[in-house]
This record gives sequence, structure tokens and C-alpha cells, in this order.
Amino acid sequence: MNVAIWTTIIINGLCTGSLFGLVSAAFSFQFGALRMMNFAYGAFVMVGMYIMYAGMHHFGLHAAAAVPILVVLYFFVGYFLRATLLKSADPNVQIIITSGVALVLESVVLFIVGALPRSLLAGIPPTWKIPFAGGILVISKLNILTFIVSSVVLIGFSTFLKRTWLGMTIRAVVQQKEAASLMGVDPEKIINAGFGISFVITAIAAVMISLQFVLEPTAGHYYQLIGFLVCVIAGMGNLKGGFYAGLLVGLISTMANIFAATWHDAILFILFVIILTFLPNGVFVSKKSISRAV
Amino acid sequence: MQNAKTEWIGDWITPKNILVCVLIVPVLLIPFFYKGGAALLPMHLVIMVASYIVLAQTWNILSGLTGMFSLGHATFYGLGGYALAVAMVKLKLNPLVGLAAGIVLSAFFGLLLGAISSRLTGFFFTISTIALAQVIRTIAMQWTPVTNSITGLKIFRPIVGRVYFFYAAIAMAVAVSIFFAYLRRSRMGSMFVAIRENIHLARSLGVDVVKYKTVSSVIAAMIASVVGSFITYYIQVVDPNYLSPIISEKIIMVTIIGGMGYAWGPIFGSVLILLEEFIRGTLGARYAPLASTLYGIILIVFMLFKPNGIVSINLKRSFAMAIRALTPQKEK
Amino acid sequence: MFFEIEGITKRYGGLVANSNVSLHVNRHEIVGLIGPNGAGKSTLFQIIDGFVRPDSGFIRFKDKDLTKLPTSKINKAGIACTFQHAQLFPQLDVLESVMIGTYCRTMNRAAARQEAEKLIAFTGLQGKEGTLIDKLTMFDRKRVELTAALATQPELLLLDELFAGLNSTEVSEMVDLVLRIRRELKPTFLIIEHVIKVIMSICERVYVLDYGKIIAECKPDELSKNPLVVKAYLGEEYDAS
Repeated sequence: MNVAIWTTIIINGLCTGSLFGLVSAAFSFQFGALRMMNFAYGAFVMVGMYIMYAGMHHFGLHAAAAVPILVVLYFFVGYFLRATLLKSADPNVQIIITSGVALVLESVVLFIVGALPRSLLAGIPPTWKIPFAGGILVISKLNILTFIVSSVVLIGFSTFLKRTWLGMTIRAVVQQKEAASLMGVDPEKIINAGFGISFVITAIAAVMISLQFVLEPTAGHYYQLIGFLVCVIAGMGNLKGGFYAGLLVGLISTMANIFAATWHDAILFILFVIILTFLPNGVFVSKKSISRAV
Repeated sequence: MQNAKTEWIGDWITPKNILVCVLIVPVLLIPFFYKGGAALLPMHLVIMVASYIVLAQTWNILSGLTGMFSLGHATFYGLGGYALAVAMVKLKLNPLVGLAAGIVLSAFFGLLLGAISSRLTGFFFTISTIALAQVIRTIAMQWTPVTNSITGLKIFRPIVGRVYFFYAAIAMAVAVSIFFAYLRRSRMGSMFVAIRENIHLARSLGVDVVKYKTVSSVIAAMIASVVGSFITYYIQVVDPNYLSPIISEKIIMVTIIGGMGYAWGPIFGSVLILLEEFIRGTLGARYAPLASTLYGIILIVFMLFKPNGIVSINLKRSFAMAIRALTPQKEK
Repeated sequence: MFFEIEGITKRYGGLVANSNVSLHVNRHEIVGLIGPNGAGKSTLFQIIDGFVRPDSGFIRFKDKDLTKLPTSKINKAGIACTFQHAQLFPQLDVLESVMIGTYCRTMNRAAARQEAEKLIAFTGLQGKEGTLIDKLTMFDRKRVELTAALATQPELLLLDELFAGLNSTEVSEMVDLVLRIRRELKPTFLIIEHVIKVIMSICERVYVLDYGKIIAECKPDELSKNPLVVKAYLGEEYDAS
């Protein structure tokens, strides 16, 4: 293989990786900043993909119209999900309830659309062909769009958290509920809003995924694990690190696809378990935190 | 001071236990009530329910007692199934060899899980179980020469009357449930629960946490593997669906809705497994996914309102409340 | 030497929790460890109990090096402790909580139970065997935790603020209990305590810890005469006036 092919592979890997970074951002924020375990998060990505599909193919909406509808809808879904089902602070309760939500979403989608995989865009996506180092770079326009959208959304999101009133209040509330309520803020509403915002990110990720990958009722499991993987490599709640970790995972994933496509998932998830178990950065139960709990 | 042995047999004879035992008797007589082919479906349902009781009891040991919340329990079930099928189909061995191989294989993965749990707790342990389950599932789907990919393996066995499977499944469910109840009251059970309740205090009281976590996951893995082999031998086919997250979720649902950490939990909860067959039978296979929808909804409702499951519902108090609600109140 | 700590140092980042701490406890003594909040007392207990590894220094118990042992082995060696907040095992009853302690010395359920019941009667918790820990008062919880620690038959008992959060009648009951345990079961005690009355009435020797360092070792009644101790507790202004 020559330089051009390798460059193509790396560019495509990075673009896929930016998508993974985007997928993990919502989860990372929910876990790291809001202290919420959301195991329905892959399922919501999957449902978002199907809503896009339904909007564009059944209701004849243009993508530019379907996306805002989905984003607004998801904000309220997130808000009310937190306000009704996820009030408990017990992580096990959150895991069980969100698993239940995932089960409901998946089975309803399976019932409505069946197990047959679908794809949002037909045909081969348009590409740029650029002569480079004695070969030709083949770069999908969609990939570049994905990269741009992911970076913009992630930069925008972290700016939002650092600079705006709501973003700062969310961080304050999670760190100290009592203080926040003294400031005249209802901490519950703020956390609900934060959860809603994380769902906006989920919606955007769902849109970007649906443009590139097939839609299946079980697709959520895969993106959920990818999201976990990226978060674990980056450290939970670390949004910027999440983007870089996403790029890394994207590269590994692309390489795995080229050299051992059938073992792609196995390689990724074994890597996941190994990192989780042996890299202390990803593991938050350090000796120090144990001693603090005693 | 009472003799310890009589004391705990005495503890077992409670009105609730007797009532449930009496209710189980008609189930045992199913093969005699129905004649010929009519008995096949009810027997099949009982076999499935009984095997879910066993699976749920093993998850109950791992997660209910020891507090290691696993979302990948189907792995052990699938390993048992595949070990049996591979031994029979590919290696032409006796099914018992396959059963034993499944147990050994699962025990190994139980050890692995124990090793992981010594480094990871809580949420991080849970996601590592999901990832491991996914790895095993991918191997089952991709290692075509051995596992035959998504088609799975079809095994051929001598014809055995379903009634044998029926009684074997019930015997297994009863035995494992009694084992669970015994374990809960044994020294080891106390160690498990101590780890779940307060790992630091358990350590400082001399409990070897890593050892007991590992023992717990190995026990759970080995028994779950036996169920996998049993069901594979019964249904005569194994495919990657055995390793599907849906199976893990069903196991968890059965235990949590019944009551996590109690021997009766999986027994009460497993009745829900009938729901799927009921929907399939009355509305048709097209509507079968809706069973999972109902599972999800029931799980959420229980988690919100009765987090300790059916076991925690106080019948006496519920009756008293119902009677109070029904009797006309005098106005003051 | 029955129990000794030598040169224990522990840093968390830039913060020094313990700096070159050395102390020793003789058999059958009751030794107090006092100091202002944040002086590093609890960290020292966690180091002794194996939850936290020290950066340097070592711990010896009956001429055996405990520094590298895991917590459960330290218990087996004969050291038990109670924790500051008495969280215990919320969903277990009193009997089983204590039995988890006795199980560490016997494999037999009946023997463990018998031993646990004996201890429960000894600490005055009889009649509450079947009560869940969740439903107990703070005083009872502290006694259950003490009983569970005793159940492991320790030779050295570390008590971390056992008397904190109790009212004065409870404190004197607890003092009686500790003295009775000492008389009948003959363990040695090392206690962290804020209640100065308790220190005065039961301790035979006191170490004072401030900013992670041992600043004084004396008899309890000499505490108020020691200028360093007074300074540590009351601050510079008192000294200056």
C-alpha cells in the first residue's frame, strides 16, 4: 500500500473518530458532570436515527427541517426523562431504570419497523479525489462534514459549559446542591435542563451516524459501548479528552476494519476491558478514593 | 441455645413457603392432566420458566448477594450451550463431555470476572461485563469453522421424551433455589452480603474480599453454564441469540422484579417469562417484541415503586389496606 | 514490643497527612491519640489498618511486619478497628453483622452464632439480634460495630471516635463498656477521641498529633500543662496573650 492509501485511511479514521467523540460526549457529560448513569443512551441514538429516517422518507421532510425538530424533541425527552423516571441518585437504580427504558425503546422500534437494516442515504456518498504523493486521496464529503460538525458541536458545548450562566449553574449545582438552592435556583430543574442538553448532543450524534451507517433496532448497543470505550480512555466527564480519545478509537477501528474486519468488535471491546482494568487513569476507584470513603 | 441444625429447618416451615409448595404440586402433575400432544406446550413453558429460575438464581448469587452488578450474564449461558454443541457436532463427543467443558470454560470466565472485580467496582465493573459479553458474542458470530456463525449449530440426539426434560428442569430449579437459600444462610453467604453492604468494614473484619468475589462469580458462572447446556440439548440448536443482551436483561428483570437477594425472588419473578409466550400465543409472533416492551415497563414501575420486588410486598398489610378501602367509612 | 509504628509518612499530592510518625503501645494499655481536626489521625488509622499504604515507615505488631499486608490479613493478625461514622451493614441484622466478625475465627455456623450471641449479651445488645442496622440508634450502631470488631478476637482494638455523637449518659455507658471489655477480654486499645472527658477517664497515655506530626506524648492529666498541646488546640493568639 502506498502513502496515498494510508493517508486516506487515516483521514477517514479520524473522521469516524470525531463521530465517536461526539457520541461519547453526551454520555461523558451525563456521567461526569450530572452523575447520571444512562444505559438507554445507545437506544436513544438508535431511536433518533429512526426518527430521522421516518421524517425524511415517510413525511418527506428535508434534512434541514428534520434536524431541528429532532433536536428540540430530544431536549424535552431528556428533560422529562430526568424529571419523571430518573430522580433517584442511586447508580444501580439509574442503571436498571435506563436499561428498562432501552428495552422498551428497542422492542417498540423492532415491532414497528422490523429487524431489517435500513439506510438513510442511498447510493455511494460523493467524494473528493485529490492527487497526492503519487496516488489519489479519496475523501468522502460526508466524512469531512462529520468532522466539522463534531468539532463545532464539541467546542460549542464546552464553551457553553464554561461561559454561559446555565452551564456554570449546572456545574455548581452538581457540586453543591444546597448552595445552589440558596442562590435561588431550583437544583432539580437545572439538572433536568442539563440532562435535556445532553440529549441535544445525542440527537446530533444520531443524525450524523444515520447519514453514514445502517439503521438497525439493535444498533444502540454498539454505539453505547463505543461511547463507554471513548469515555473510559478519556476519563469520565473529560469532554476535550473525549474528542481526542474518539479520534484514537476511530483510527483503531478503521485499522481493525482493514486488517481483520470480522474481528473488529472483538478487538475493540477486548481493548476496552484491558484499558478499563489496567490503566489507572480510566479507573476512578483509586486507593485514594477508597480511603476517603472509609 | 438451640441446636443450629434444627433451628434452621424450623425457620423454613413458614406459611408462605408451605403455600408456595402446595401451589407447585399441580405444575408437577401437568404431564398427567394433559394427554398426548396437548401436554407439550405447557411442559415447554414450565421448562423455560424453570431454566430462567436457575439463571436468575445464579445472577442473584453474583449481583443480589455479592453486589457485583453484571449486565452480561448471558455469556455463561451461551458458553454452556456452545460447549455442548461444539463437543457434540464438531468433535462427536459425548454430551456430558460438552457439559463438563462448558462448566470449565465458564468457571474460567468467572475467574476472569472475579479478577476484574478486584480492580473495578460499581459502574465500571458493570460496563466491563457488557464489553466481555459483547466480545464472546462476536467470537460466536465470527469464528465460523467452530460456531457456524449466525446460523448456529444444530445438534442431533436420540429422541428423549419431553417429560424427562420437564422433570429435570423442575428438579434443577428446586435444587438451585434451595442451594441459594442455604448459601444465603451459610458462612460464605454472610461473607458475600458483607461485601455487598460495606466492603471496607468487611475487609477490616477479616473478609478476604477478592477471594469471595471470585468464588461468587465462579459459582454463578458454572451453574449458568449447566442451564445453557441443558437448554441446548433440549432445543437442539445453539446460535448467537444465546449470548444476546436481551437474555441478560431478562435474567436481571426476573430477579429484580421478584426480589434481589432473596431465594424467592427469581421464583416469583420468573412467572413473567410466560408473558412472552402468552403474547406469542394469543396475538401471534408478529407481536412478540411487545413482550420486551412490557418487561421494560414492568421493570421501571417496580424500580420506582417497589424496588425490593414482589418479595417485599406485604400481603397481610395489602389485604388490610384493601379491606379498609372497601369498607364504608363512617363520617365524623 | 507489642505494637509499634516507626517513621510513618504519607503525602497526598502536596499535602502531608503524616510526617515521620512513631508511636508504640504496650500490651493491655489504653492509649489515646488526640489532635485538632485534619491532624492526620484517621489517615494514621487507615495506614495501620491497611486501607492506605504509607510512603515510608513501618508498622510492627508482636514483632511481625504489617506494613505490606492487606486489610483482611491485618485483621487475622489480631488488629480490629471501628470506623468514624458507624455505617455498618445497613441491610443486615445485628446478629449477622456480629457473626461476620466471628466467622473470621471459625468455619462453623453454629459455633459462630453461639459466640456472636455471647458477645451481643456481653455488650448489652440482647433482644436486638433480629433488628436491622438501618433501624438502630447511633449508640446501638456504635455498640454493634464494637461487638463485631470484638468478634474477630483482636489483641489490639483501634477505636476511631467511638464516643462522638453520643449524649453524656451514653458516653458514660460506653466508657463502662470499654473498661469491662478491657477487664474481661484483655485487649489493648488505641483510640482516637475528641471527648476530653473520655481521654481523662480511660487513657493511660496520650499522643498528640498536629499537622501530621507527633508533638507530645504524656499522661492525660499533664495535657493542660504542656504548652505545645495548648498551642495546637487553641492557636497562636492564646499563646501570645
